[in-house]
Amino acid sequence: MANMESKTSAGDKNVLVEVNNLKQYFHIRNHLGEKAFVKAVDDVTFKIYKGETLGLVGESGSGKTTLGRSILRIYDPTEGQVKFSDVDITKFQKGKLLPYRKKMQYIFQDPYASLDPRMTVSDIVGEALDIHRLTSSKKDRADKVRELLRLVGLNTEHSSRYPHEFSGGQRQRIGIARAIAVEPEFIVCDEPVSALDVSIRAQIINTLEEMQERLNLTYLFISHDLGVVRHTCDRVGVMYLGHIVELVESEELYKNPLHPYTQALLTAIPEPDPELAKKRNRIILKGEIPSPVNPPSGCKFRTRCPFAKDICSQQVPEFKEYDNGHYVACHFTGKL
Amino acid sequence: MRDTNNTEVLDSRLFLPATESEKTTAEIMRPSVGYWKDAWKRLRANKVAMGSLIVILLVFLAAIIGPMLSPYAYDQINKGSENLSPNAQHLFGTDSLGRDLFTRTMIGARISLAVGIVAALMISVIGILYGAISGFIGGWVDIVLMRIVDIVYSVPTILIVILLQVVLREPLVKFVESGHAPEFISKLGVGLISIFFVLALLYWVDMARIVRGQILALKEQEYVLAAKVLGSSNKNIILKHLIPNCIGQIIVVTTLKIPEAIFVESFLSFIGLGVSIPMASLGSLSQVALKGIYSYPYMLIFPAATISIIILSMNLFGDGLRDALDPRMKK
Repeated sequence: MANMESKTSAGDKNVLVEVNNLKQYFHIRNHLGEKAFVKAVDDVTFKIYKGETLGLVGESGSGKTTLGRSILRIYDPTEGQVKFSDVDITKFQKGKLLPYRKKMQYIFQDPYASLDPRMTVSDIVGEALDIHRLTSSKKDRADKVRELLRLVGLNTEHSSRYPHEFSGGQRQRIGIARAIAVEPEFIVCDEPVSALDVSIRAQIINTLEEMQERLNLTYLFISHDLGVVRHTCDRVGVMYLGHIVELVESEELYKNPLHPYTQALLTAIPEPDPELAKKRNRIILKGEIPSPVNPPSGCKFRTRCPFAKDICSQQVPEFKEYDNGHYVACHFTGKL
Repeated sequence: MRDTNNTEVLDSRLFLPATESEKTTAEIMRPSVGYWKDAWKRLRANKVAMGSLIVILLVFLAAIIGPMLSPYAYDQINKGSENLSPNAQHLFGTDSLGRDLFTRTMIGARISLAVGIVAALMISVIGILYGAISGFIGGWVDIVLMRIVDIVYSVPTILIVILLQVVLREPLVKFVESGHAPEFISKLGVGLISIFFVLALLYWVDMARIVRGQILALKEQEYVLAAKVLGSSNKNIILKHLIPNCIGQIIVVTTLKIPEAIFVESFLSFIGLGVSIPMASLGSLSQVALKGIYSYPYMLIFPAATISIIILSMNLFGDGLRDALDPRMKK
């Protein structure tokens, strides 16, 4: 993933997924029975290039998972556009969407909830093959399942077992096998390691990287672990309250964060060296992330931003390119 | 002193490499304990449920092969041996026409069990599909379907049976007379057929409610999302993921519906709305016996006791099954 950097920095990048002004609102009713919206994703625009890993970070409730799911059409987007290989799939109905279901897959955060407890491993992985009719016979199916299990580092004898007989890391591997069974081009990895023990996180990440290299995959890597993102991602988008506030190549993000929220986030990465940790001045944000039902006017971050001025409450800052490939949404980019 | 001690503890003979056979025996091969095996283990440990199961199997056996072994047919009238008390020839005695009550009770049990099982199957099919669709689609569809359930729930059963019998009798009789009707329809009679209709029409609501509740909870599970991402159709999601995951609940409700249906049939036959003569059901046997309760109490005791035993053991077995299939519900 990190070695893809040279490719992504080149000018002739192929866009695989293009997201334009995507909005995902959910209807709810408040305690008075009035209708309201949860603006989980609010006007997000970005591109994902072929072969890269785009990271998506942000605190809980910032809309990372919803964004990933809207792109895959698990939810029907309220507004905006999702293009896959230049085809607008936002309004596709079931039958028309099916070939795209094969190209885009999802790896879930919780390996305990994402595998059907009543199905054997071979049925879980084989279901994908069945839906898209990728096997010619029963034997072919069994062979393919075994091959997939071997590919993700599982014992092939395990194919007749049930999910509850596996550890978290093994389950996540089953999830990966299911996702790559249909030979997708694009996978949304929704915090694939955050539910796992620290000791096996690296293994799963390595498996994901290996799959990417072998199968030429593009990842949208959702995480709240900035350390993991730095290791795995070519570019990183930072989300806050349904918006992407900054999007840039990952090394640049860690060296030169421009949005005040990103700056605060980066100082929150734990520093193992106590001496260094003492020297570092951590930016501690005031308060909590506001409710997405009733977000602040103008810049969504202004209520917690240490640099907020009048203009921040009046105007929504434009998400624009500040420097070569460095997108920021802040009125004072470069002036802070 | 200490040295010798140490050499004794760390005897080099203890550190020989394992032989091949030792390696294979040491390999931990835990058999894959599936859901059903686990449930069966829990059920077997439940003495009451196992006792009930044995009783149920015995009743089944008697109902299915008993009448074939009996020297008397259920409708065979034996002149000269009317109203006999239980004796060696007639274990349960005979009725006022000299028919062997033991055979008739077994036939009655056969009818009752058939009603219970067929009705439970019909209830399950209708209730599962209805509940699954309601829970899975949700929203307005769910609200409308569940209000229909509320209405069906409030309809008085007896009224519907009587109405159905009146409405169905004429077309059914014509159907039988036309000669195209399968034999079983004339044999079962209008009463029994309308009981089936009523059970299918009115008793699926519990099943629908329970399945809907389960589906509502299950459809938010991530494995359902995963199936959706893979492009699975709604039909496949319901049939392959949702229903198998509430199969425990479904089996329990089905098992508890069998005695309920048997009870309804017995009760309706008892008040004269069930099987037609000479066919016997446990309910109609009891009704006939009621007339002579002071002179021939055994005529009532045997069929009534059979109903009670069937319903009691089915209920106890259903309870045991619920505990076995869903250990969380255990008190």
